[in-house]
Amino acid sequence: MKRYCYSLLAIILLSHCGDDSSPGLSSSEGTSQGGSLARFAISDDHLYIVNDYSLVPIDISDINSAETREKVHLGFDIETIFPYQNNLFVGSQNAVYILSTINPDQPELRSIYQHSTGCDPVVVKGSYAYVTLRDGFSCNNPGNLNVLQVVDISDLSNPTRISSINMTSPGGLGIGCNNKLYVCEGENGLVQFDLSDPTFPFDKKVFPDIHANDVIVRDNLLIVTGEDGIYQFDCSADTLRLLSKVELFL
Amino acid sequence: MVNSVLVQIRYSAILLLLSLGGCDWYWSEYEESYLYYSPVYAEEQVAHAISVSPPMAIEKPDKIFTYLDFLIVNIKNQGFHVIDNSNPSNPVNLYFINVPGNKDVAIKDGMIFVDNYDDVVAFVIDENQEVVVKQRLEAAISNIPPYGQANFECIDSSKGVVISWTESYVSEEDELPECSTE
Repeated sequence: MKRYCYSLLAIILLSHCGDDSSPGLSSSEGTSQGGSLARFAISDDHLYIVNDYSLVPIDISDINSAETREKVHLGFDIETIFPYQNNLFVGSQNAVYILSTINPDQPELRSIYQHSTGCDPVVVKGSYAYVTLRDGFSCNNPGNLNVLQVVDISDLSNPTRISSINMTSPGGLGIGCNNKLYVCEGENGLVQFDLSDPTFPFDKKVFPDIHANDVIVRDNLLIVTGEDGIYQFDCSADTLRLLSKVELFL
Repeated sequence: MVNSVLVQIRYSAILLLLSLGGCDWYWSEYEESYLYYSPVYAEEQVAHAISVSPPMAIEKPDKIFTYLDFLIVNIKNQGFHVIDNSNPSNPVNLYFINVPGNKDVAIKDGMIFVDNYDDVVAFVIDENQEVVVKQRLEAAISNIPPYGQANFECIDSSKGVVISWTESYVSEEDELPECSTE
């Protein structure tokens, strides 16, 4: 009986030896995702990076032996990249470049959606893209334009703006969570729109105390980088429910 | 009467000529000034050092990325925090990965890709929570001044890694350094 007890104890102790933490960052399978301000995007077996003038495709099908492919020269002041299905939406200070990755080593430019100058992250869902334009010294926007634009991309060779909504200081965006669109307005808060009709963001709600810079939506989870903390909300209902706030060291 | 008018005209003409000549002299400081860029170097060992630090308080987060149940919080030019977010009501700050000159992160099947100034580096965190660099793609992104058409002092890699650029001026176009982005 005693020997049995000791063996059982030994088994219990040994089984906890390696169990001090969840799976590590590198001992796992999956693909990361960025928000609308990212310069890196993974699409299938390729890593796409945008820098000031161009898009750099990197073949990572062999994860241990990445290979850079030929750069695609696009234009000036390239800032952001958003992958969606077989396309890449690249934001610059005066346009959104839409590229096809049907041939992943050689992304091909399908069209350019030009707009007035300004910093312009973009998110996409279905047949519509949502772009914010913001003024400010670093955004080279002399027109004082602060807007959210809805762009019809059902024909990718001919992106067409269908509406423009005045905002205060719009930056990063997030889309999802039961048909919602979130727009970060920095000091001016976080804005939520209902996107049940994707052509018509409505029922605007402002959360003025969340000074939001960037946002990511993952299923029902809304993660906001704010000026004083990283907030996480359950966004499944009409109003946000705070789950946690990681305070920042200020 | 006619004489005085003529004198006045001549006088005005002289004044005009003088002022035009003066204009030329006055503006020369501003017109004939040519901009170029000089690389700022850092020692390779310092610039390319990627390491793990114990968890630190988060200051000025730039961008966030998600990977499985992890939150990656980038701190511009410094690296990123790794947070265990398996319970979003109770995120746990695990550690900080130092990557000089870093702005973005992408992770696929455990391989972490970062920009380390102009290089793209692929690394893993091993079971001892240490960085193991697997691959470095040198100058994958760009190593020339990102400021439109520009002349710059040619890069001398024996001086180290280029980590930024400073602006300088010369007064003659032929004094500009020979390397350019064109």
